Amino acid sequence: MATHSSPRDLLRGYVEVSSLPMIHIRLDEAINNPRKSMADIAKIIREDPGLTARLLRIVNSAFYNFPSRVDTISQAVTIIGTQQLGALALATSVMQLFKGIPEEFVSMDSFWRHSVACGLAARVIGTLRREPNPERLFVAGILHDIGRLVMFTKATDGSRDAFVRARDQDILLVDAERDAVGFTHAVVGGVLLQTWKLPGILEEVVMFHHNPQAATKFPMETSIVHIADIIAHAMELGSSGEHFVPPLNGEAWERLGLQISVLPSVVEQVDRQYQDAIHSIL
Amino acid sequence: MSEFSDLHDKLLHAENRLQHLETVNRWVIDTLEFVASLGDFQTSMNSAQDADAILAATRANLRRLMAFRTIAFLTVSEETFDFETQESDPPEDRDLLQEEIDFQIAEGTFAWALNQTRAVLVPAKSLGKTVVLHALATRAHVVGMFIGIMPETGLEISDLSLNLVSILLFNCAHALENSGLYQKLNSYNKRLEEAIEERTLELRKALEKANVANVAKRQFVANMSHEIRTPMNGIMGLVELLDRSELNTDQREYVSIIQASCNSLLTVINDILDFSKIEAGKLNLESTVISFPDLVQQIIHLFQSRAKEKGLILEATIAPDIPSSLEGDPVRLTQILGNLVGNALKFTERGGITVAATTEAIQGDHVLIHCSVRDTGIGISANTKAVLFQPFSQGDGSATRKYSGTGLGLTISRQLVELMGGKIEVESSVGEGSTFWSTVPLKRVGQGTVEPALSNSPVEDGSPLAPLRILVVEDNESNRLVASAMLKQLGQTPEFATNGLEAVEAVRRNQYDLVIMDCQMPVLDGMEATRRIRLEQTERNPRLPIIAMTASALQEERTQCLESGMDDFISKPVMIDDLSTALRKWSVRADNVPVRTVAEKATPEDEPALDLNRIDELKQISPRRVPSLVDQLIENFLVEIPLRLEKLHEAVARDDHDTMLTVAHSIAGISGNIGAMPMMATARKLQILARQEDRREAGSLVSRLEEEFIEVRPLLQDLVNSKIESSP
Repeated sequence: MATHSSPRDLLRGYVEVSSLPMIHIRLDEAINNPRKSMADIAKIIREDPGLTARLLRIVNSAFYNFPSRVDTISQAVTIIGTQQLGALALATSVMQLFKGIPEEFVSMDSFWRHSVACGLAARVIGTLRREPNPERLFVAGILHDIGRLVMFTKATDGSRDAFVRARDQDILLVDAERDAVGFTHAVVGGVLLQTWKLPGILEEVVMFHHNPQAATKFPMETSIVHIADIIAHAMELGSSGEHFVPPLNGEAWERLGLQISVLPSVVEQVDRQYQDAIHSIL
Repeated sequence: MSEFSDLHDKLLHAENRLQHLETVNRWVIDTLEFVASLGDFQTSMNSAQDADAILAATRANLRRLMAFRTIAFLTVSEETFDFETQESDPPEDRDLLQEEIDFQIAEGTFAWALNQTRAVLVPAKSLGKTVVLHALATRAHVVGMFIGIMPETGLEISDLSLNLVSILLFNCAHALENSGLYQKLNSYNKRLEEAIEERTLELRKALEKANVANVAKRQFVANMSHEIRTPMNGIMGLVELLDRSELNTDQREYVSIIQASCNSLLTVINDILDFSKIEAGKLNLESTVISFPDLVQQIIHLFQSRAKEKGLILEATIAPDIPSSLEGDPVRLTQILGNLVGNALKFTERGGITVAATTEAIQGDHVLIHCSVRDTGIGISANTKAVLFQPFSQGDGSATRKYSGTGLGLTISRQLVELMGGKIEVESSVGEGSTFWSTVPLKRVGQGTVEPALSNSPVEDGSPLAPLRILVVEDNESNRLVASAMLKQLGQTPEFATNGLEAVEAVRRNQYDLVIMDCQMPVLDGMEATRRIRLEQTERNPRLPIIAMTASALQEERTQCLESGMDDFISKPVMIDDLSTALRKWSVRADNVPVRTVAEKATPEDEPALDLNRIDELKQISPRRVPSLVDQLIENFLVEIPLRLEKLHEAVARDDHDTMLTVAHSIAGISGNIGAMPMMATARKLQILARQEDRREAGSLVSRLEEEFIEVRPLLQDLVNSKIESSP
């Protein structure tokens, strides 16, 4: 059984995902540059016709439910916002990045469906709480299980072992990973985002989405994604290989400060946006 | 060369990069400064309590951030939940602004932007301009919307500026919400205060109403008591007169039944009056020196005849250690004890009643008197005992009540005892009898005379009164009739006035020996009339005794009577005995020539010139007086009569009937006082004659007076002489 000393070792041999597409680095720089206007950012996005098409699809979907049609990226930037559009662009690019990995454990379609469902739930909860950047929560949700794709590709044996253990012992896959590989997909995902020099908030959310009490800088966002993951599992929208609904962290739920009575509305909104989002993103 | 150009490129790149970083750095510093200045913004917003001030501060900061042409806020109305456009800045853009708002609402972007947490830039209606929409919202509530119009497409704005706008508006929304809550709190407070004030006012009004009602009730009770007593006075007086007339056995029985009924009715009225006074806290206790043993004895005496009628033994044992002089309210103590003894008599058919008084304790200058009334009556059940002292309750509450009474007696007794600082309790077993006992602290008195517990009980000699000139002031006709009849029985022929003013005038005109004055009268009441009479009195005019007739049992009214200058009072309904007592008392005290209590008889020829019995009575009236009353009277008689006879002669000669009348009156008085009955009779005749047209017989009457005087003079001189001889 091939074991790996650390997530970083795992990533070192994974050249294909070692860095993000150049466009994201440029986008990020432009968004954070006070001299760059929205027009500049729109210009960068327009350089990638694929991305432009994907983003316009998303912006015009039920996901946003904007009252009139958004035809140009310039419009999209002013309506959705640059950071938000940047986040959406990142999400779609990461999906592109992992295209074509072996589907021995789960189909990529199923994997991304679960991820999108989690992202949608996180965004809906964020909007409910009037969080300043719900798109960032959307991205965090989409990326939360990204470490598993790395493990499927670069720790295939360990992953297989984990699946067997989880099935045979009726335990959570994440716990089986710890036993079989030595670390979990959450940690691998966190380290990957760190390598990509993505904002710390995404790294922390992904790293601790199974144990939100450990998040120190962004406990709220981590808790939101933790709850969103459970909702996505419960709604049985896609699968990242986990057979059980992960246990709920009570503290995380408390932190959200939401009434249980809002849950049906969250589920209903996720349900409504799901198909549209899948079509526009995948 | 390519190396150089590569290096050159790198340098150029580094230079650009440096420039970029410097720009970013400057921007970061500017932003930090801006954010730091938001501290002031925050403070000023927290202190600003009205929405306008908050919006103005926000507007100013927004303009620092971005080149808005027009700025306006829409706020959510508390009542309608509609968006209300606040004033546009600048104001002249108002119409343009409203057009934009309407357009964005129609487009749906307005509603959409409300759900966003950041600025949404959409094309304006007017081409080439951009509208910035930003919800004014806290995490919990949307409180409004910001709308700004930019003169260009908006694509030139940096995202970071929009972030700062978000921060500003988020703070603004919080401030607005706080201000709303603060104002709500204020208005709640104000409403609460108003509500409290309103309630307080209502309560005060209710209290005032209740007080007015209470005063009215008390007034009503007092009036009723007066209104009931006045006719009662008539009834009881006439019944008493009826009782003294010739009646057959049946009639006499009816009369006695009427009398008993009147008496119980009077008790009821008195009970109700006392009760309402105690309830109103208006009952004031008197404090005079009393003899408690005497008081007990008098009560035994009072109820003895009733006990005998029922074949019951009524006796008292009084411990010798009870001090003879104590301070207390004799009337109320008598009332309490009387009530207990009366109850015992009422509920006992066999056996007897024992009143026992002992000293229970001595507490400082107070003696705790324990007084019990034990009977062998029907007894009281435990259930009844619980409500016994409650108002209007009686042992037998059934419809077919065997025993009469208001059921207020024990309540009043308990309240009185408690007013005195004592207590009252009962021990009883059904069929065996009851013992009521009360303890009352009474103040000890060092020394001093003991007034009898029941005042106005002077020597009853039963002898007829001398004729007096009495003025009865009474507005009620039946009462006048009663007074007239009673006085007639007492040998008096009173004159009448029907109100205070007539009384004052009558007194001014005539020389009365006594005035009996009703208190409540139309035109001028008894008190005011008395005051005027006293004002007009001069030294030579001897103090005229004025006795109040009062239907009111209220102590205040009695006090008012005395304060107005009255000398005494008798309670209505007037009893003949009370009247007689008062007449005797005040004809004696009238002036320094008192005691006129001698009979006016038909003066048969064989009547002795001097009634020696009268002389004996006089000796008893004030035995300790020096010189004795008798001596003084005799001396007065011997000096005065010759002078007056002389005056009479003159008056007859001049036919001066006024002088004749006054002098004859005074001779009648002086003679009557010492028992010179024939002389008094003759003087009276002369008085009557003086009022007549034909006074031819006046001379002979004066001569007859002279003869009678000559007859009586030696007898009186002998009396004085023997006295001198017998004195040591």
